[in-house]
Amino acid sequence: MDCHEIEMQLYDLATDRLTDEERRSVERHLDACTVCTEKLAIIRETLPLLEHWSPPELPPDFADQVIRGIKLRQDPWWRKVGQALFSPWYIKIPLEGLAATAVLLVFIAYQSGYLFITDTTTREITVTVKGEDAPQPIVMESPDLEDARLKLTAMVKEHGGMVVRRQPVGSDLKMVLKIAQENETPFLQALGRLGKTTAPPEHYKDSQGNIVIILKKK
Amino acid sequence: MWEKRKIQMSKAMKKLSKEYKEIIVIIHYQGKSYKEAARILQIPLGTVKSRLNRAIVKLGKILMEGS
Repeated sequence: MDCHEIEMQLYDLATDRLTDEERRSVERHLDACTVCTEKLAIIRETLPLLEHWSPPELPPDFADQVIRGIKLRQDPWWRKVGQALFSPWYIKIPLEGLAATAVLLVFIAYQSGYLFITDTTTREITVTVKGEDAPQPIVMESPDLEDARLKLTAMVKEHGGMVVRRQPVGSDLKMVLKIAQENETPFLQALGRLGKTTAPPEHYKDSQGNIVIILKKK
Repeated sequence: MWEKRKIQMSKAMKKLSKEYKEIIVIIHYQGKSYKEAARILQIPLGTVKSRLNRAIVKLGKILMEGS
């Protein structure tokens, strides 16, 4: 046997765990090898000293923890990333699905103009304070806001215009409309057909030249 | 004397690498078999044996350097 094979058995020899035959075989090697003999001497001196130390209280799942730790050390980076993202899958995948849905909903709400109403209102107030072209919207009253919105939209299209933005403001609905200048007067006249409408104030357009109308529930 | 040795051992154990400390704890203190240690540490049986012997020799050398 070579030194490597003997080295593996020194602890067993020192703690008397070898069979007679194994012990004789190791001792034969030791008679001729000072390196292994010296290692055995160190082990024999060290073993009694181990009594002066005791490992910290180990949890019952210590072995499992060691196995997990080793797997983590051995795993390639992509597996670690995969485990961080999807393990345990039955918890993380539903959570990540919910998070993605929430982000998507917020994005859709933002795109539709249903979000940050307060923010928009604040901006309008700021404009007023600065004395710039503050729109004084035309106010239309209707018992059915949705019906009024659809009719107004149809009328805008009839006059070759488009709805730039619609935005709930409290219980009202703000409509920002783009109408060609030549069609503006007939459009304003036609508005009266849709319901009770205030006379167009002086500044009913915003800074982009769009007509601002507030649909109010009667 | 006992207390002094205890402190020496504690210091020496702290200097020992995690792999060496693990193998000493599993085999010597917990009394696990080599086969069980190989399963826990996910290493071959021969590596368990050689690592254990090297760990104790290393610990002995650290203690000798410290004394």
